[in-house]
Amino acid sequence: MADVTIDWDRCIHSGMCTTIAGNVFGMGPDARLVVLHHTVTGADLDSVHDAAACCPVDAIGVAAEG
Amino acid sequence: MGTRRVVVAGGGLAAVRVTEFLRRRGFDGSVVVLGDEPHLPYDRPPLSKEVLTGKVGPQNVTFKDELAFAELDVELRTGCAVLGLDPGRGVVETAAGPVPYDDLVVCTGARPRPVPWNAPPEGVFVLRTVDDAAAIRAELERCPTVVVAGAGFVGAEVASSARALGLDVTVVEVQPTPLVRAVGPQVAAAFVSMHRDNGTDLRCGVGIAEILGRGRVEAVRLTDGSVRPCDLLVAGLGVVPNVEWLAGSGLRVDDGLVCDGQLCAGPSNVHAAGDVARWTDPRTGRSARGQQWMVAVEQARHVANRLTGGAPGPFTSGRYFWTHQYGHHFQFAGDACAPDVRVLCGALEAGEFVVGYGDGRRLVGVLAKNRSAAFVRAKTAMDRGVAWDEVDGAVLG
Ligand SMILES: Cc1cc2nc3c(=O)[nH]c(=O)nc-3n(C[C@H](O)[C@H](O)[C@H](O)COP(=O)(O)OP(=O)(O)OC[C@H]3O[C@@H](n4cnc5c(N)ncnc54)[C@H](O)[C@@H]3O)c2cc1C
Ligand code: SF4
Repeated sequence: MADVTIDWDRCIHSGMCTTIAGNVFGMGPDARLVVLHHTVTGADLDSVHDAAACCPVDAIGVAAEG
Repeated sequence: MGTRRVVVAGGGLAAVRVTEFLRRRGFDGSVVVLGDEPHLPYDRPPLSKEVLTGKVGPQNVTFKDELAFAELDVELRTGCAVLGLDPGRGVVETAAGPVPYDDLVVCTGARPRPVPWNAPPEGVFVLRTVDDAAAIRAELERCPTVVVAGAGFVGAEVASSARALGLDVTVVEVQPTPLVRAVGPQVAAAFVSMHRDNGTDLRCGVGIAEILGRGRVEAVRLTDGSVRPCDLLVAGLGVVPNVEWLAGSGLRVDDGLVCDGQLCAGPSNVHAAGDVARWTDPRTGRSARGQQWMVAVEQARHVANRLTGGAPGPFTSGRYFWTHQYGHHFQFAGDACAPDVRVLCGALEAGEFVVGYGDGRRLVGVLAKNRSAAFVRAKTAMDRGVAWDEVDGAVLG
């Protein structure tokens, strides 16, 4: 289980995280990028790690819980 | 600990990501990275942006420190050039002796095309490495008059950074309009006016005929006969892939290491990723060599999947890139060589816009200036295969 965050000061809105981990990152009601689930496990966590590696500005934080 | 050994030739972005993806997928054999630069692997996009303007020091662009490589259980050999390859024996040659592999990933990237003119020893630079960036940054502090040869993305970013420092900047571009192949003629015109609106003297349709100055550059003579004073010349004339070390290996080299649709370079245990890899894009049917950050990462991911038993389909790329010029943020995804071009929101001559590229049936490319949310919406619509007729609704919501 891990806590997922985006550093909005760094994010350049590439949309890569929504492509790679669409269960966790998506568009909010105002059509802005949001973290849909802050606490993730299993396959979602694997895709979050991939999204973090594909983030061009290293804006995705993944911190193990507990 | 497994006994399989993956050797990664090259020590840049693609190399680092291959190692990370391998470990994340549970690869428990040994991983060796052979990089010829003396530095820890680092990120190149900040070099032409924050490093040149002085916002970020050249020492602050590394991906990770030695400890992090050790924690990943990756043996990183810096200052270690790969000199040759014998796929039959499964070894790469280095000055310190042969290095055997079970799987080899070629990530040797590309280097700037050298300047074609007779250049004096001082004041003429290309930009690829952190050492290039540090040297150019030092020159920008004492050179008021800068000439940039080539108005491609790196050249444009150098010009933008020099203007941000208040310097007198001329960009010399041999094409009548820069970036036509990258973004198409209509949109390329917007880049031209942006240079001029920001005080850069953009000279299109002329080249540099001669560099003047003995010990150091003093001026450039253009092909139209005019002479432009110059304290510092930075050339951004494109790149050539680092493939010379593959000579005699039997692997096919043609402006890059030629790979199949799986990024396999012939022998089933040799793959390539990053700027060095040439592959046939299944979406367009065209042979391509990526020169963008994201393509290198996507390829690293695909190769790591292959080496750990995944990725049955051919490699595809979203072909995303970004560039930052004169305080404006541009993002692109997909294919710009499409016949239909439509402004989906904003206006080309304004501070912000989203442009869609269509192949008559579908939205196949998106370019945005300062419109991040609309860009993500359009890109998502493109990934879903939205029809060209329905693009406006999908993007504007
Ligand atoms: C100044 C600059 C700005 C950029 N900005 C952007 C941007 O804004 N957006 C974007 O999408 N892309 C940008 N890019 C492109 C992006 O950085 C590259 O696509 C990416 O670095 C490619 O990664 P790579 O690992 O394939 O190659 P590289 O990063 O070039 O790494 C290859 C490494 O292998 C080493 N090597 C070469 N030959 C050998 C050998 N024989 N033995 C051992 N090691 C060897 C090289 O020295 C190098 O360290 C920029 C590039 C530059 C230079
Ligand atoms: S991948 Fe990174 S830069 Fe891109 S939208 Fe996600 S957090 Fe932002």
